[in-house]
Amino acid sequence: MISGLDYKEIAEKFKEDIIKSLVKAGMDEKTAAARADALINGSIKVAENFEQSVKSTSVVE
Amino acid sequence: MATKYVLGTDGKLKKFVDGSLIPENNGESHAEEYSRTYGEEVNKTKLVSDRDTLDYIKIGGDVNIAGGLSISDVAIRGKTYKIAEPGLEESIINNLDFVSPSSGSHYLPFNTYSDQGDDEEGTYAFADLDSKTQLNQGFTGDRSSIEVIEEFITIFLSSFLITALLEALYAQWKEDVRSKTDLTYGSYRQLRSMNILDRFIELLHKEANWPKTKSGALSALVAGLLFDLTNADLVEFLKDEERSINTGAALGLPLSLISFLFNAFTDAILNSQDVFNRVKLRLRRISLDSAYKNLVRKSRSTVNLNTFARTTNTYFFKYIVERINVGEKILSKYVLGDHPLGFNVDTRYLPNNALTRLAKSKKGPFANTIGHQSTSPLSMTQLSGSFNAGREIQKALVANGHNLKTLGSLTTKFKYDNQQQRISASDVKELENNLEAEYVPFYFHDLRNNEIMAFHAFIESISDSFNPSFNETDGYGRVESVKTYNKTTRNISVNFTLAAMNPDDHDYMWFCVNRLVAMCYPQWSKGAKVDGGFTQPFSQIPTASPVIRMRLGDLFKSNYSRMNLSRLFGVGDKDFGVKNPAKPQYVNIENANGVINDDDNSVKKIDSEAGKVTKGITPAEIDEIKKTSLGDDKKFKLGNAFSGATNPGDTVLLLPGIYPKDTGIIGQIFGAIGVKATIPSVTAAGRSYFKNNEYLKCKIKDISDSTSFLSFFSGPSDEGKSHNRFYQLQPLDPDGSLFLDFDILASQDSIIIAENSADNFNQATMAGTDSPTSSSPGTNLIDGLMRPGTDTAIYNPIVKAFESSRGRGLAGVITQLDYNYNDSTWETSRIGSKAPQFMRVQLTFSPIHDIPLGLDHKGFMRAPAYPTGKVNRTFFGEVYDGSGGTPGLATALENYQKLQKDLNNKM
Repeated sequence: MISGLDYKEIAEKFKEDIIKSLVKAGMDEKTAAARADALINGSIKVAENFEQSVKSTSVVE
Repeated sequence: MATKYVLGTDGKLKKFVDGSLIPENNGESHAEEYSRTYGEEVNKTKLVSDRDTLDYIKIGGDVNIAGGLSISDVAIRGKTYKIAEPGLEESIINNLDFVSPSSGSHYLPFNTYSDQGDDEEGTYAFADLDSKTQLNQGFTGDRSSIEVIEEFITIFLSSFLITALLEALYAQWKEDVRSKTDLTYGSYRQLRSMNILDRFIELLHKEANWPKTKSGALSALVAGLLFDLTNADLVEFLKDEERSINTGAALGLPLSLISFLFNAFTDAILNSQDVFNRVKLRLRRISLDSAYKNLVRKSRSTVNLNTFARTTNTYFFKYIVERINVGEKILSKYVLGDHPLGFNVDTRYLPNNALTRLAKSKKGPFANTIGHQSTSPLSMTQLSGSFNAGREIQKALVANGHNLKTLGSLTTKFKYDNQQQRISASDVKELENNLEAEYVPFYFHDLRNNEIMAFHAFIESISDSFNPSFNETDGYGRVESVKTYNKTTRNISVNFTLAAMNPDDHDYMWFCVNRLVAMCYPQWSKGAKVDGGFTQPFSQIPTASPVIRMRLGDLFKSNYSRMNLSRLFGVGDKDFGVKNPAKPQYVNIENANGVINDDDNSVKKIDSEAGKVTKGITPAEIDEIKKTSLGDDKKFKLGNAFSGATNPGDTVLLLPGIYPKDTGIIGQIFGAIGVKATIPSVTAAGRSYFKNNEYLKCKIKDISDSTSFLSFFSGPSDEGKSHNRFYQLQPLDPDGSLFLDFDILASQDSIIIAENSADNFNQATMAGTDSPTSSSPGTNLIDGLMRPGTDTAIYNPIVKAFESSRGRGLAGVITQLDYNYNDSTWETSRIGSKAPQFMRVQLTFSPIHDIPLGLDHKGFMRAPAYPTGKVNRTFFGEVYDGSGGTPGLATALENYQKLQKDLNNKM
């Protein structure tokens, strides 16, 4: 990690809010928790891809 | 079984069966699968079967349908077909790329396609997203709210993470720059210290347009998203939550704001079709962009190594940047409280006050009056009783048919007080604290009657010169004369233009012009009365010289402060101390030699046996006092010589004598007398008394300033004394040997107060504040020595004199005042007001410094010529610095912040 950021740690902070939103939209709690994990993982992947692209500039080690 | 294809925000097609995501099959992407099955089918059915006329093919160019539907010949790429001719449809399909079944993926309806049929509005991929229909109806596909919410949660989360990443790099870079900036070579970074992080940050700003934020990119992003994707009242939320939002920190997670976003977003999606449509349009745009970019990328034969440029060129990233910019504006206004005029607002609707005056082109939305007219700033003019009489005469004239124009609304600007000779110092202070918020305070303060004339003027030139002069003495053989310092003169010259913005303003401006002229003339005496009746005309003589204060920003300003003045009292010198101030009087026992003072305020000796008052204290008695624990303090004052506050709990000495005991309760009297003492139960003759043979140490239990009922309480030793206070005392009997388990009632004359026993006389500790390392040096000085007094009492007459005529302006006299009207246009439309509309004023001013300038005996400046800025304010104080170290600008600052807050609430 160039930034030293723990994406997982940051994203987990919002898990509660995500589950709340999904439940409000009609999902049952168990599914919502599972979906929240999936969404967090998906988002982390996007961020990691972005970080790769930052590295690809070859100006950041 | 309902099958649905959805274009995700990553640009890839996803397949859902009955709402469940289906994984890719054997490496064949859903896009390929879709293209292979549905796409082909769609193309066939839509283009061949469903469309029964060629009019549907609106490709232009090579296809030429002459004459519309009724024509029988169709020309395609040079070949003519008859409508009925077999093979026509085949020919069209074969000749035109876009209808080839293998190119079906081009027909992916964006961003969903279900097996129930096409997007009902016929919205196709790459359609014009800003078309009116779409904006009105939003996305017409059949995506459910939960799908949209999920998709957007991913967008939210990943944008937060990306923002956090870039802000982390940015923070590292800033730290890096700080550590490497070599101040010895100036604050610019040396080229050799540039590193790869520098280059990346440059890239980030220049190529990716990453904004610089004050409120932190993450907070700004969330605020921006809230603004776009919800119906929440963001401003209200920010006002409530402003403290909990972690602004300014690069990595600060604005948790409360993000929670609010998730909640408000879900609410909006579920409850507002309007927001739902908007959100789907955003989703569509992001998906479309990704899909398009993926297509383009796939069609390239070379590999693009710069994925950063590609990533940041997506709509997704640009959307993040755009939202940060919007959010930053919102936060900087409502959280950071930036100057509101940094925003594009219609200034006509803003309130008229010091902060908006110069920004407003018009005073109100329908006013034709400019904001910064002469009548706008706060002036204070006194109307004397004689003026009022003059007005009565005017009224009489009007009643008799003379059409005199009254001052109308302008009179509200005048403060009328028949009694006062001068506007009070507290009114001046209040007005000056309000004027502080003006763009640049510019006013003249006439010290004779404390009137303040504030101007809106265009300052053209300012000059300020100091001219020291020396007496020169020549000596034989001495080539150069000996220069002996004589004096320094300072001359200030200010040129400004006064301009009237409207007729009312014109009238008021000419009043101000006259008032300024009056500052060049004296104040006259009342004149001689003729036989106690009218005044002999022209018997008035000049009395007060026109000394004024001129204020121009923080440039020309008074250098008076209690701190500066206190140094003229020697505060801060090692040998500084306060001895024998006029009131209260001290008795210095060490130097007393028996009899101390003879006048009424002196310590009086009481013959304890006879209960009579005699004068003086013998050395033996002094020794007695010194034996008590209070004796260590060495300085005492007799109660009646003391006008300050003594408090319950203070320790005092009770003079020897006979005093009533406070026993035998018949009732408590609180309000009427004020002493929570009990009235002795028996008649005066039968009261129980205590005979005090020594200087008895007591603690004050209660105090009354009431003088009624005192005879009721008085004992023999208090008879004949002028009671202005009455004390309920509890004898201190540490070892219990005296058996004193009662309270004593005594008048103020009968007690001795040790100087250090109470905090009522702070001068006692002043000498101890010499040390500059003291936690609050000078506080006691200001509270004690520099206390001017009250309305009726004078403590420090010099401070009182200074503060009766203080003001923030620089004191002095006008030595020249020129008005120049040569360039001016004239008011010609109104009878009685035909005069120039503007004028140039040249004013020469000779200051009289409150504290004369120069160095003190220790070599430090006595006071500044320009009391400007924080450094000078720290060293030399401020005009209105108060007791206890209260900053003089505090009220002005409060006023300013209140105006700013009002303004923010209005916008």
